[in-house]
Amino acid sequence: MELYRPTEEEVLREMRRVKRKSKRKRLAWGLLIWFTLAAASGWYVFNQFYTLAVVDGAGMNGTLLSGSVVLCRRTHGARPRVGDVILFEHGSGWQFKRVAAVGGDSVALSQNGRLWINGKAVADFKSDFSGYDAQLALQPITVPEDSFYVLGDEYGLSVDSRSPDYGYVKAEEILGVAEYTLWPLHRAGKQIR
Amino acid sequence: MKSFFGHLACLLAVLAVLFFVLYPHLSDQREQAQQISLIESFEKQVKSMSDDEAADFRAAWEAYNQALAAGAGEKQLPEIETVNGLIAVLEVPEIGVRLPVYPAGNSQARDTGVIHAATSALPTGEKGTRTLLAGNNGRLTQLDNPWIDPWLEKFQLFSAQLLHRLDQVKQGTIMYLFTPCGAQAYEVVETQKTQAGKIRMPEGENAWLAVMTNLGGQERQLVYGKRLSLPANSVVLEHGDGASIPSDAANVLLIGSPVLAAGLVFMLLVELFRRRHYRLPADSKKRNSSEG
Repeated sequence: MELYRPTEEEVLREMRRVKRKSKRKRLAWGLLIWFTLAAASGWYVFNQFYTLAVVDGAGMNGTLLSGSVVLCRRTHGARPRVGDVILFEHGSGWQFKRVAAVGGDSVALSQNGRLWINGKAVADFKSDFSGYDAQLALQPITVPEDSFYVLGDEYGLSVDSRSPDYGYVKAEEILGVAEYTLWPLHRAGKQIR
Repeated sequence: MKSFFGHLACLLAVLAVLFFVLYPHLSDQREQAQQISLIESFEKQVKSMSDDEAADFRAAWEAYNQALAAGAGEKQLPEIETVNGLIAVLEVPEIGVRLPVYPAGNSQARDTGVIHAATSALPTGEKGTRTLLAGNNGRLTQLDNPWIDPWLEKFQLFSAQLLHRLDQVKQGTIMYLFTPCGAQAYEVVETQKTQAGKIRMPEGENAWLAVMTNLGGQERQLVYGKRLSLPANSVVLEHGDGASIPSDAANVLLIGSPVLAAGLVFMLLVELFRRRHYRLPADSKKRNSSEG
Protein backbone atom coordinates (compact mmCIF):
# COMPACT_ATOMS: atom_id res chain seq x y z
CA MET A 1 0.00 0.00 0.00
CA GLU A 2 1.38 3.28 -1.06
CA LEU A 3 1.34 6.04 1.55
CA TYR A 4 -0.15 9.29 0.28
CA ARG A 5 2.27 12.11 0.63
CA PRO A 6 0.65 15.50 0.43
CA THR A 7 2.39 18.20 -1.45
CA GLU A 8 3.86 21.13 0.36
CA GLU A 9 1.02 23.32 -0.89
CA GLU A 10 -1.60 20.92 0.52
CA VAL A 11 0.15 20.89 3.89
CA LEU A 12 0.23 24.65 3.96
CA ARG A 13 -3.47 24.86 3.04
CA GLU A 14 -4.32 22.48 5.86
CA MET A 15 -2.21 24.43 8.31
CA ARG A 16 -3.95 27.63 7.27
CA ARG A 17 -7.33 26.00 7.80
CA VAL A 18 -6.35 24.85 11.29
CA LYS A 19 -4.98 28.27 12.07
CA ARG A 20 -8.20 29.95 10.92
CA LYS A 21 -10.29 27.54 12.98
CA SER A 22 -8.29 28.12 16.11
CA LYS A 23 -8.43 31.86 15.54
CA ARG A 24 -12.23 31.75 15.25
CA LYS A 25 -12.48 29.63 18.38
CA ARG A 26 -10.32 32.09 20.30
CA LEU A 27 -12.42 34.97 19.01
CA ALA A 28 -15.69 33.32 20.05
CA TRP A 29 -14.40 32.59 23.54
CA GLY A 30 -12.90 36.03 23.84
CA LEU A 31 -16.18 37.68 22.83
CA LEU A 32 -18.14 35.56 25.27
CA ILE A 33 -15.79 36.41 28.12
CA TRP A 34 -15.81 40.11 27.31
CA PHE A 35 -19.58 40.24 26.94
CA THR A 36 -19.92 38.61 30.34
CA LEU A 37 -17.34 40.91 31.91
CA ALA A 38 -18.93 43.99 30.35
CA ALA A 39 -22.42 43.06 31.53
CA ALA A 40 -21.16 42.20 35.02
CA SER A 41 -19.11 45.38 35.40
CA GLY A 42 -21.96 47.44 33.90
CA TRP A 43 -24.36 45.98 36.39
CA TYR A 44 -21.92 46.57 39.27
CA VAL A 45 -21.14 50.17 38.31
CA PHE A 46 -24.82 50.87 37.72
CA ASN A 47 -25.82 49.54 41.09
CA GLN A 48 -23.03 51.06 43.07
CA PHE A 49 -22.38 54.48 41.64
CA TYR A 50 -24.78 55.58 38.95
CA THR A 51 -28.25 55.29 37.58
CA LEU A 52 -29.97 56.58 34.49
CA ALA A 53 -33.25 58.44 34.45
CA VAL A 54 -35.52 59.78 31.74
CA VAL A 55 -37.07 63.24 32.21
CA ASP A 56 -40.80 63.47 31.71
CA GLY A 57 -42.50 66.88 31.57
CA ALA A 58 -41.40 70.48 31.40
CA GLY A 59 -40.89 71.32 35.08
CA MET A 60 -37.10 71.47 34.60
CA ASN A 61 -37.18 72.96 31.10
CA GLY A 62 -34.10 74.92 30.21
CA THR A 63 -31.89 72.51 32.12
CA LEU A 64 -33.51 69.16 31.40
CA LEU A 65 -35.75 68.74 28.39
CA SER A 66 -38.58 66.28 28.46
CA GLY A 67 -37.36 62.94 27.10
CA SER A 68 -33.71 63.55 28.03
CA VAL A 69 -31.72 60.65 29.42
CA VAL A 70 -29.70 61.78 32.42
CA LEU A 71 -26.79 60.12 34.19
CA CYS A 72 -27.23 60.46 37.96
CA ARG A 73 -24.62 59.81 40.62
CA ARG A 74 -25.95 57.99 43.64
CA THR A 75 -25.49 60.02 46.80
CA HIS A 76 -25.25 57.13 49.30
CA GLY A 77 -26.53 59.40 52.04
CA ALA A 78 -24.31 62.40 51.20
CA ARG A 79 -26.22 65.67 51.37
CA PRO A 80 -26.74 67.51 48.09
CA ARG A 81 -25.84 71.20 48.02
CA VAL A 82 -27.97 74.19 47.13
CA GLY A 83 -28.13 74.41 43.33
CA ASP A 84 -27.77 70.67 42.71
CA VAL A 85 -30.37 69.01 40.51
CA ILE A 86 -31.54 65.93 42.39
CA LEU A 87 -33.46 62.80 41.46
CA PHE A 88 -35.78 61.69 44.22
CA GLU A 89 -38.77 59.57 44.92
CA HIS A 90 -41.95 61.56 45.29
CA GLY A 91 -45.37 60.03 45.80
CA SER A 92 -45.60 57.09 43.46
CA GLY A 93 -42.93 58.25 41.00
CA TRP A 94 -39.57 59.93 40.52
CA GLN A 95 -38.81 63.58 39.95
CA PHE A 96 -36.00 65.96 39.12
CA LYS A 97 -35.87 69.30 40.90
CA ARG A 98 -33.24 71.82 41.93
CA VAL A 99 -32.35 72.21 45.59
CA ALA A 100 -33.18 75.79 46.55
CA ALA A 101 -32.61 75.51 50.29
CA VAL A 102 -31.52 72.89 52.81
CA GLY A 103 -32.52 72.11 56.39
CA GLY A 104 -32.27 75.14 58.68
CA ASP A 105 -32.46 77.71 55.85
CA SER A 106 -35.13 80.39 55.88
CA VAL A 107 -37.13 80.68 52.63
CA ALA A 108 -39.51 83.39 51.48
CA LEU A 109 -41.20 84.16 48.19
CA SER A 110 -42.06 87.78 47.57
CA GLN A 111 -45.07 88.90 45.60
CA ASN A 112 -42.92 90.03 42.70
CA GLY A 113 -41.78 86.46 42.24
CA ARG A 114 -38.37 86.70 43.90
CA LEU A 115 -37.01 83.98 46.13
CA TRP A 116 -35.28 84.92 49.35
CA ILE A 117 -33.05 82.48 51.18
CA ASN A 118 -31.68 83.43 54.59
CA GLY A 119 -32.64 87.04 53.88
CA LYS A 120 -30.83 87.28 50.52
CA ALA A 121 -32.60 87.48 47.17
CA VAL A 122 -31.48 84.75 44.80
CA ALA A 123 -30.82 86.44 41.47
CA ASP A 124 -31.33 83.40 39.24
CA PHE A 125 -34.63 82.44 40.80
CA LYS A 126 -37.36 84.45 39.17
CA SER A 127 -40.93 83.31 39.06
CA ASP A 128 -43.54 84.22 36.51
CA PHE A 129 -46.37 84.75 39.00
CA SER A 130 -47.79 81.31 38.42
CA GLY A 131 -50.33 81.57 41.17
CA TYR A 132 -48.40 79.79 43.87
CA ASP A 133 -46.40 82.89 44.56
CA ALA A 134 -49.43 85.02 45.22
CA GLN A 135 -50.65 82.31 47.60
CA LEU A 136 -47.31 81.79 49.24
CA ALA A 137 -46.20 85.34 49.70
CA LEU A 138 -45.98 84.49 53.32
CA GLN A 139 -43.74 85.04 56.27
CA PRO A 140 -40.39 83.28 55.82
CA ILE A 141 -40.50 79.57 56.55
CA THR A 142 -37.67 77.51 57.97
CA VAL A 143 -36.83 74.27 56.18
CA PRO A 144 -36.85 71.35 58.65
CA GLU A 145 -33.61 69.47 59.32
CA ASP A 146 -32.85 66.60 56.90
CA SER A 147 -35.25 68.11 54.41
CA PHE A 148 -34.78 70.04 51.17
CA TYR A 149 -36.81 72.83 49.61
CA VAL A 150 -36.89 72.09 45.87
CA LEU A 151 -37.99 74.07 42.82
CA GLY A 152 -38.32 73.27 39.14
CA ASP A 153 -36.45 75.57 36.75
CA GLU A 154 -39.65 76.37 34.82
CA TYR A 155 -41.59 78.04 37.60
CA GLY A 156 -44.78 78.50 35.62
CA LEU A 157 -45.10 74.75 35.06
CA SER A 158 -43.32 73.13 37.97
CA VAL A 159 -45.20 71.60 40.86
CA ASP A 160 -42.69 71.83 43.71
CA SER A 161 -42.08 72.87 47.32
CA ARG A 162 -43.98 76.10 46.76
CA SER A 163 -47.13 74.02 46.96
CA PRO A 164 -48.18 73.16 50.52
CA ASP A 165 -49.45 69.78 49.27
CA TYR A 166 -46.04 68.96 47.82
CA GLY A 167 -43.95 69.87 50.83
CA TYR A 168 -40.26 69.20 51.31
CA VAL A 169 -38.07 66.39 50.02
CA LYS A 170 -36.64 64.23 52.78
CA ALA A 171 -33.01 63.13 52.71
CA GLU A 172 -33.93 59.44 52.52
CA GLU A 173 -36.05 60.06 49.40
CA ILE A 174 -33.06 61.28 47.39
CA LEU A 175 -31.75 58.80 44.87
CA GLY A 176 -28.97 60.77 43.25
CA VAL A 177 -27.61 63.98 41.81
CA ALA A 178 -28.00 64.65 38.08
CA GLU A 179 -24.55 64.83 36.49
CA TYR A 180 -24.67 64.65 32.69
CA THR A 181 -27.22 64.62 29.90
CA LEU A 182 -26.72 61.61 27.61
CA TRP A 183 -29.65 62.14 25.22
CA PRO A 184 -30.71 63.98 23.00
CA LEU A 185 -27.60 63.88 20.87
CA HIS A 186 -27.17 67.63 20.67
CA ARG A 187 -26.96 67.79 24.47
CA ALA A 188 -24.98 64.60 25.00
CA GLY A 189 -22.17 65.05 27.50
CA LYS A 190 -23.45 68.38 28.78
CA GLN A 191 -22.82 68.82 32.47
CA ILE A 192 -25.92 69.66 34.47
CA ARG A 193 -25.56 72.81 36.56
CA MET B 1 -14.77 34.31 -4.26
CA LYS B 2 -18.33 33.05 -4.24
CA SER B 3 -18.36 33.27 -0.46
CA PHE B 4 -16.93 36.78 -0.59
CA PHE B 5 -19.75 38.02 -2.84
CA GLY B 6 -22.32 36.25 -0.65
CA HIS B 7 -21.00 38.03 2.43
CA LEU B 8 -20.91 41.32 0.58
CA ALA B 9 -24.54 40.91 -0.57
CA CYS B 10 -25.66 40.13 3.01
CA LEU B 11 -23.79 43.15 4.35
CA LEU B 12 -25.32 45.44 1.73
CA ALA B 13 -28.81 44.09 2.48
CA VAL B 14 -28.36 44.70 6.23
CA LEU B 15 -27.02 48.21 5.55
CA ALA B 16 -29.98 48.98 3.27
CA VAL B 17 -32.49 47.85 5.90
CA LEU B 18 -30.68 49.82 8.59
CA PHE B 19 -30.70 52.90 6.36
CA PHE B 20 -34.47 52.71 5.78
CA VAL B 21 -35.21 52.12 9.46
CA LEU B 22 -32.82 54.67 10.93
CA TYR B 23 -32.73 57.42 8.31
CA PRO B 24 -35.88 59.34 9.37
CA HIS B 25 -34.79 59.33 13.03
CA LEU B 26 -31.18 60.27 12.39
CA SER B 27 -32.13 62.91 9.88
CA ASP B 28 -34.71 64.35 12.27
CA GLN B 29 -32.09 64.46 15.03
CA ARG B 30 -29.75 66.33 12.70
CA GLU B 31 -32.56 68.71 11.81
CA GLN B 32 -33.37 69.31 15.47
CA ALA B 33 -29.71 69.93 16.23
CA GLN B 34 -29.71 72.64 13.54
CA GLN B 35 -32.80 74.26 15.09
CA ILE B 36 -31.45 74.03 18.60
CA SER B 37 -29.18 77.07 18.49
CA LEU B 38 -32.13 79.19 17.35
CA ILE B 39 -34.40 77.80 20.08
CA GLU B 40 -31.75 78.13 22.78
CA SER B 41 -30.96 81.68 21.83
CA PHE B 42 -34.70 82.48 21.96
CA GLU B 43 -35.01 80.91 25.42
CA LYS B 44 -31.90 82.69 26.65
CA GLN B 45 -33.17 86.08 25.49
CA VAL B 46 -36.62 85.46 27.00
CA LYS B 47 -35.11 84.48 30.36
CA SER B 48 -32.83 87.50 30.42
CA MET B 49 -35.68 89.97 29.77
CA SER B 50 -36.11 92.57 32.49
CA ASP B 51 -39.52 93.00 34.13
CA ASP B 52 -40.13 96.17 32.11
CA GLU B 53 -39.21 94.51 28.81
CA ALA B 54 -41.50 91.58 29.58
CA ALA B 55 -44.34 93.98 30.44
CA ASP B 56 -43.84 95.89 27.16
CA PHE B 57 -43.88 92.64 25.26
CA ARG B 58 -47.07 91.50 26.90
CA ALA B 59 -48.71 94.88 26.22
CA ALA B 60 -47.81 94.65 22.51
CA TRP B 61 -49.27 91.15 22.22
CA GLU B 62 -52.41 92.14 24.10
CA ALA B 63 -52.85 95.09 21.71
CA TYR B 64 -52.66 92.64 18.80
CA ASN B 65 -55.29 90.42 20.39
CA GLN B 66 -57.55 93.39 21.11
CA ALA B 67 -57.29 94.56 17.50
CA LEU B 68 -58.18 91.04 16.38
CA ALA B 69 -61.15 90.91 18.74
CA ALA B 70 -62.32 94.29 17.40
CA GLY B 71 -62.55 92.71 13.96
CA ALA B 72 -59.41 94.15 12.33
CA GLY B 73 -58.50 92.47 9.05
CA GLU B 74 -55.17 90.74 8.52
CA LYS B 75 -53.67 93.85 6.95
CA GLN B 76 -54.82 96.19 9.71
CA LEU B 77 -53.30 94.12 12.50
CA PRO B 78 -50.21 95.56 14.21
CA GLU B 79 -46.85 93.96 13.47
CA ILE B 80 -46.09 91.05 15.78
CA GLU B 81 -43.28 91.57 18.29
CA THR B 82 -40.82 88.66 18.10
CA VAL B 83 -37.70 87.53 19.91
CA ASN B 84 -34.98 86.48 17.50
CA GLY B 85 -37.63 86.10 14.79
CA LEU B 86 -39.70 83.65 16.86
CA ILE B 87 -42.84 84.06 18.89
CA ALA B 88 -42.62 80.82 20.86
CA VAL B 89 -41.34 77.26 21.05
CA LEU B 90 -43.88 74.45 20.81
CA GLU B 91 -43.13 71.22 22.67
CA VAL B 92 -45.17 68.01 22.61
CA PRO B 93 -42.92 65.48 24.40
CA GLU B 94 -45.22 62.54 23.71
CA ILE B 95 -44.52 62.72 19.97
CA GLY B 96 -41.01 64.15 20.21
CA VAL B 97 -41.92 67.61 18.89
CA ARG B 98 -39.86 70.67 19.81
CA LEU B 99 -40.26 73.28 17.13
CA PRO B 100 -39.84 77.03 16.78
CA VAL B 101 -43.04 79.03 16.18
CA TYR B 102 -42.70 81.76 13.55
CA PRO B 103 -45.11 84.59 12.82
CA ALA B 104 -47.21 84.18 9.67
CA GLY B 105 -45.49 85.04 6.43
CA ASN B 106 -42.07 83.72 7.37
CA SER B 107 -40.73 81.91 4.33
CA GLN B 108 -38.43 79.41 6.08
CA ALA B 109 -41.02 78.46 8.70
CA ARG B 110 -42.83 75.96 6.48
CA ASP B 111 -39.82 73.64 6.33
CA THR B 112 -38.36 74.10 9.78
CA GLY B 113 -41.11 74.86 12.27
CA VAL B 114 -44.71 75.89 12.76
CA ILE B 115 -46.49 79.11 11.85
CA HIS B 116 -48.85 81.18 13.95
CA ALA B 117 -52.06 81.85 12.00
CA ALA B 118 -52.32 85.63 11.76
CA THR B 119 -56.09 85.64 12.29
CA SER B 120 -55.80 83.85 15.64
CA ALA B 121 -54.76 85.37 18.96
CA LEU B 122 -51.16 85.53 20.14
CA PRO B 123 -50.60 83.12 23.05
CA THR B 124 -50.57 85.46 26.03
CA GLY B 125 -52.25 82.76 28.10
CA GLU B 126 -55.12 85.08 29.00
CA LYS B 127 -58.62 83.65 29.22
CA GLY B 128 -60.52 83.81 25.97
CA THR B 129 -57.43 83.70 23.70
CA ARG B 130 -57.56 81.13 20.89
CA THR B 131 -54.29 80.46 19.14
CA LEU B 132 -53.90 78.38 15.99
CA LEU B 133 -50.51 77.00 14.99
CA ALA B 134 -50.01 75.17 11.71
CA GLY B 135 -47.11 73.06 10.51
CA ASN B 136 -46.16 70.67 7.77
CA ASN B 137 -46.66 66.94 8.08
CA GLY B 138 -42.92 66.32 7.75
CA ARG B 139 -40.48 67.48 5.10
CA LEU B 140 -39.67 64.85 2.51
CA THR B 141 -36.08 64.29 1.48
CA GLN B 142 -35.46 65.77 -1.97
CA LEU B 143 -32.32 64.89 -3.89
CA ASP B 144 -33.49 66.62 -7.10
CA ASN B 145 -33.14 63.32 -8.89
CA PRO B 146 -36.16 62.23 -10.98
CA TRP B 147 -35.34 58.54 -10.39
CA ILE B 148 -34.72 58.58 -6.65
CA ASP B 149 -37.16 61.26 -5.39
CA PRO B 150 -40.38 59.28 -6.17
CA TRP B 151 -38.95 56.36 -4.17
CA LEU B 152 -38.09 58.58 -1.24
CA GLU B 153 -41.68 59.85 -1.30
CA LYS B 154 -43.07 56.32 -1.60
CA PHE B 155 -41.13 55.17 1.46
CA GLN B 156 -41.97 58.41 3.31
CA LEU B 157 -38.32 59.17 4.03
CA PHE B 158 -38.62 62.47 5.88
CA SER B 159 -35.58 64.60 6.45
CA ALA B 160 -37.55 66.41 9.21
CA GLN B 161 -40.57 64.88 10.89
CA LEU B 162 -42.15 68.19 12.02
CA LEU B 163 -45.81 67.38 12.93
CA HIS B 164 -45.77 63.97 11.24
CA ARG B 165 -46.99 62.18 14.37
CA LEU B 166 -49.67 64.68 15.34
CA ASP B 167 -52.36 62.09 14.66
CA GLN B 168 -50.92 59.99 17.51
CA VAL B 169 -51.71 62.68 20.09
CA LYS B 170 -54.46 61.54 22.43
CA GLN B 171 -56.74 63.28 24.87
CA GLY B 172 -54.90 64.12 28.08
CA THR B 173 -51.55 64.73 26.33
CA ILE B 174 -49.83 67.88 27.54
CA MET B 175 -48.48 70.39 25.02
CA TYR B 176 -46.13 73.16 26.13
CA LEU B 177 -45.69 76.59 24.65
CA PHE B 178 -42.71 78.68 25.76
CA THR B 179 -43.39 82.32 24.99
CA PRO B 180 -42.05 85.69 26.11
CA CYS B 181 -45.29 85.93 28.15
CA GLY B 182 -44.32 82.86 30.17
CA ALA B 183 -44.42 79.09 29.80
CA GLN B 184 -47.86 77.63 29.22
CA ALA B 185 -49.17 74.07 29.39
CA TYR B 186 -52.21 72.89 27.43
CA GLU B 187 -54.05 69.63 27.97
CA VAL B 188 -55.41 68.07 24.80
CA VAL B 189 -59.19 67.74 25.10
CA GLU B 190 -60.10 66.95 21.52
CA THR B 191 -58.47 65.65 18.34
CA GLN B 192 -60.14 65.59 14.94
CA LYS B 193 -59.64 65.19 11.22
CA THR B 194 -61.43 67.80 9.22
CA GLN B 195 -61.48 69.57 5.86
CA ALA B 196 -59.57 72.80 5.25
CA GLY B 197 -62.71 74.92 5.03
CA LYS B 198 -64.30 73.53 8.16
CA ILE B 199 -61.73 74.46 10.80
CA ARG B 200 -63.33 75.94 13.90
CA MET B 201 -61.92 77.20 17.15
CA PRO B 202 -63.35 76.02 20.49
CA GLU B 203 -65.77 78.10 22.49
CA GLY B 204 -65.50 78.90 26.18
CA GLU B 205 -63.62 81.16 28.53
CA ASN B 206 -60.39 79.19 28.70
CA ALA B 207 -57.23 79.96 26.80
CA TRP B 208 -57.07 77.53 23.86
CA LEU B 209 -54.31 76.27 21.62
CA ALA B 210 -55.04 74.43 18.38
CA VAL B 211 -52.26 72.72 16.45
CA MET B 212 -52.92 71.73 12.85
CA THR B 213 -51.14 69.78 10.15
CA ASN B 214 -51.87 68.95 6.55
CA LEU B 215 -52.64 65.28 5.86
CA GLY B 216 -52.67 65.75 2.10
CA GLY B 217 -55.22 67.41 -0.15
CA GLN B 218 -57.85 69.25 1.87
CA GLU B 219 -57.64 66.96 4.90
CA ARG B 220 -56.31 68.46 8.13
CA GLN B 221 -55.42 66.96 11.51
CA LEU B 222 -56.22 69.16 14.50
CA VAL B 223 -55.63 68.89 18.23
CA TYR B 224 -57.25 71.28 20.67
CA GLY B 225 -55.64 72.01 24.02
CA LYS B 226 -57.07 73.80 27.04
CA ARG B 227 -54.66 75.83 29.17
CA LEU B 228 -53.57 74.44 32.52
CA SER B 229 -52.16 76.81 35.08
CA LEU B 230 -50.87 76.55 38.60
CA PRO B 231 -52.04 76.06 41.27
CA ALA B 232 -55.51 74.99 40.08
CA ASN B 233 -54.22 72.27 37.76
CA SER B 234 -51.32 71.15 39.92
CA VAL B 235 -52.54 67.54 40.01
CA VAL B 236 -52.49 67.25 36.20
CA LEU B 237 -49.20 69.11 35.85
CA GLU B 238 -47.49 67.09 38.54
CA HIS B 239 -48.49 63.95 36.71
CA GLY B 240 -46.50 65.14 33.71
CA ASP B 241 -43.60 66.53 35.70
CA GLY B 242 -41.60 63.51 36.67
CA ALA B 243 -38.89 61.09 35.68
CA SER B 244 -38.63 57.41 35.03
CA ILE B 245 -35.83 54.95 35.54
CA PRO B 246 -34.99 52.78 32.53
CA SER B 247 -34.76 49.04 32.98
CA ASP B 248 -31.68 47.49 34.56
CA ALA B 249 -30.92 45.94 31.17
CA ALA B 250 -30.70 49.40 29.55
CA ASN B 251 -28.44 50.64 32.33
CA VAL B 252 -26.20 47.60 32.11
CA LEU B 253 -25.98 47.91 28.34
CA LEU B 254 -25.10 51.58 28.42
CA ILE B 255 -22.54 51.38 31.18
CA GLY B 256 -21.22 48.00 30.00
CA SER B 257 -20.70 49.15 26.40
CA PRO B 258 -17.45 51.06 27.02
CA VAL B 259 -16.06 48.02 28.84
CA LEU B 260 -17.05 45.85 25.90
CA ALA B 261 -15.46 48.22 23.41
CA ALA B 262 -12.24 48.33 25.46
CA GLY B 263 -12.23 44.53 25.55
CA LEU B 264 -12.60 44.26 21.79
CA VAL B 265 -9.71 46.66 21.23
CA PHE B 266 -7.61 44.62 23.68
CA MET B 267 -8.47 41.40 21.82
CA LEU B 268 -7.47 42.98 18.53
CA LEU B 269 -4.13 44.01 19.98
CA VAL B 270 -3.53 40.49 21.32
CA GLU B 271 -4.35 39.08 17.89
CA LEU B 272 -1.90 41.43 16.19
CA PHE B 273 0.78 40.55 18.71
CA ARG B 274 0.27 36.79 18.17
CA ARG B 275 0.54 37.11 14.43
CA ARG B 276 4.06 38.43 14.82
CA HIS B 277 5.24 35.34 16.66
CA TYR B 278 3.34 32.65 14.82
CA ARG B 279 4.28 32.31 11.19
CA LEU B 280 3.59 29.61 8.69
CA PRO B 281 6.63 27.98 7.03
CA ALA B 282 5.58 29.61 3.77
CA ASP B 283 5.63 33.03 5.39
CA SER B 284 9.12 32.38 6.76
CA LYS B 285 10.22 31.20 3.34
CA LYS B 286 8.94 34.36 1.71
CA ARG B 287 10.63 36.42 4.37
CA ASN B 288 13.95 34.62 3.94
CA SER B 289 13.82 34.93 0.18
CA SER B 290 13.03 38.65 0.39
CA GLU B 291 15.86 39.12 2.89
CA GLY B 292 18.23 37.07 0.71
